[in-house]
Amino acid sequence: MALVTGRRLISQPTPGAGLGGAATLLYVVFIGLPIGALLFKAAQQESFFSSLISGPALTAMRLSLVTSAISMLVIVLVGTPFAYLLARSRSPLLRLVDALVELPLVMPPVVAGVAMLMAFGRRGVLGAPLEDLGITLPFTTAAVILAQIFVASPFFVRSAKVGFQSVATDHEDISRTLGVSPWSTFLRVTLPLAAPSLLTGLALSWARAVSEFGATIMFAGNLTGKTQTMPLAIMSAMETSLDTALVLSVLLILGSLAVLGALGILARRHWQAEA
Amino acid sequence: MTSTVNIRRRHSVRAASLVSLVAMFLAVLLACSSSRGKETLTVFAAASLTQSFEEVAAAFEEAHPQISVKLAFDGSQRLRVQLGHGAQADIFASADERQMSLAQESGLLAGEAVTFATNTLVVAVSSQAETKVKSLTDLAQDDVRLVLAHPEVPAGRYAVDVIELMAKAPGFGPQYSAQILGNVVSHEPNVRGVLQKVALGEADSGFVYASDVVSAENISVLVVPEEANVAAIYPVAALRFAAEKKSAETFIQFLTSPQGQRILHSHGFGPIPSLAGSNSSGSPDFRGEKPASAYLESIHALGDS
Repeated sequence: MALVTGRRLISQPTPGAGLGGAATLLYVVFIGLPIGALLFKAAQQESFFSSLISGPALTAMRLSLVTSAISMLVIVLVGTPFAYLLARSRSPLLRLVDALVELPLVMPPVVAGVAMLMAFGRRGVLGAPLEDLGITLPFTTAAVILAQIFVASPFFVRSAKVGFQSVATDHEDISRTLGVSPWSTFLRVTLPLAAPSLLTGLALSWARAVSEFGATIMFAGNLTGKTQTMPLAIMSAMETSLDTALVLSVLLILGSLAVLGALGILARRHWQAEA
Repeated sequence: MTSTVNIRRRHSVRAASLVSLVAMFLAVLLACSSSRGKETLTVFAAASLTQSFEEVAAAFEEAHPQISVKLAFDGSQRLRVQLGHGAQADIFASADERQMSLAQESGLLAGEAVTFATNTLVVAVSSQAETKVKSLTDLAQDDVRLVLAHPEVPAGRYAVDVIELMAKAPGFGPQYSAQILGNVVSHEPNVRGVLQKVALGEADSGFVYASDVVSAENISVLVVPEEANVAAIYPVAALRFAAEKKSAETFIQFLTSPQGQRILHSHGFGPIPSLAGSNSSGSPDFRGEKPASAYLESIHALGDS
């Protein structure tokens, strides 16, 4: 049914076709020009490849990859059951929690950073007792990961919740009447059906984590090899030379494209498997 | 039939409201750009000048009602890069001569830079860490968390210079600078970031300007001895692409006038070294030569209170 209306909409000429074309062109130029200019200016440099594999660039890249990978692991492990509960439960309390999940999305990153300090800082609500136990979070790699989880997790939870909601409970019921345990049902029926949404959410979430800047510099500071992720390294490089900043930016864009591309292919395979 | 008329009417109402919206938008734009006969002077100033320049600008506007001053603060190096990439401003006030001479080399200045203030470095200690960091030697202890400005920021460069000078001084020892630099947990993009992290208690201590601690709360101050301190020179210059060259000159004169100097002194800045020294294009390598001036003691007392 939905498919039929979809086809009809596409095949019939719409009054806004010309406008749509113009808007598309405008959009592609607007987004494409800055990225193209960045690549073009970076490629013009003589020392492009040598600075691409230089120590500081690789150190920052490694830190970004490691921290974002850990963040994603935590987000998926905690976010998946949480999103499933949000999708299936009708409790009013969970509705409230559901609304709360979106808050980090509308918070400016700097505000997120201040909030992290108030909670986990050395004088923070939880940070002060932790400090007494000898655990200090600010200015550590752990702080980078916490900041990433805080700002990036809503993207995954949102998308995963919608994914689980789109899986009809009928499928799960049938599976259970056939004697499959609830756990197996979740892993073999629900999860594969919701997988494209989960992967899309993961991609968005990862992109947000890797580009995280404001909360990180507030909460984790800026130290090479420890808390200086790619966006912070780019900011620091800008203070010295635009060339290094350009190279780091290109490195970040290429790395992000690779990860997003891989996740996109995975998601498409799942769609096709379903269809 | 009536429905088409209605639709048309609705359309025209919509169009009218759209036109009036656009008109309002344009009016707001116009109101912003033309300052109703008032000249707008844009000043790019080092982050350490934040409070003092706000007061200077207010006094200047009072003395020159036809000019309104717009201030932008950040690390001098970043402002210089922004100016190099076409940011529009009339005046650049830097926290060191290096960024000013780089601006000069890029052809950004209208004329010679003029020194209008000096500053020295102090160590800000968080009120939580007072028992741990009681002296400059304590900074080398293993568990001290130190914050510096990024080495490219004037305050960060001065801090590294001071640490190296201290390592050479008796009582500190040659390993002092390695130990103290090993305690650095963050390189902040400007000196205000350092002060903020210390005042919040997230870092135990940080190197900041003497002028930064005058109005700071929740910190105490360790004074760096004269022989290890630097004299930060603050040069100011009118910019080549300034829209308001004459007003820019008036503002620079105001900075060096007794009134301007009085405001700067009240914020902890040191006096202009000498009248001859106001030509900053002289020797760029002044560091370590000029002793910290006596006003530091009053700041120390303030920090103790």
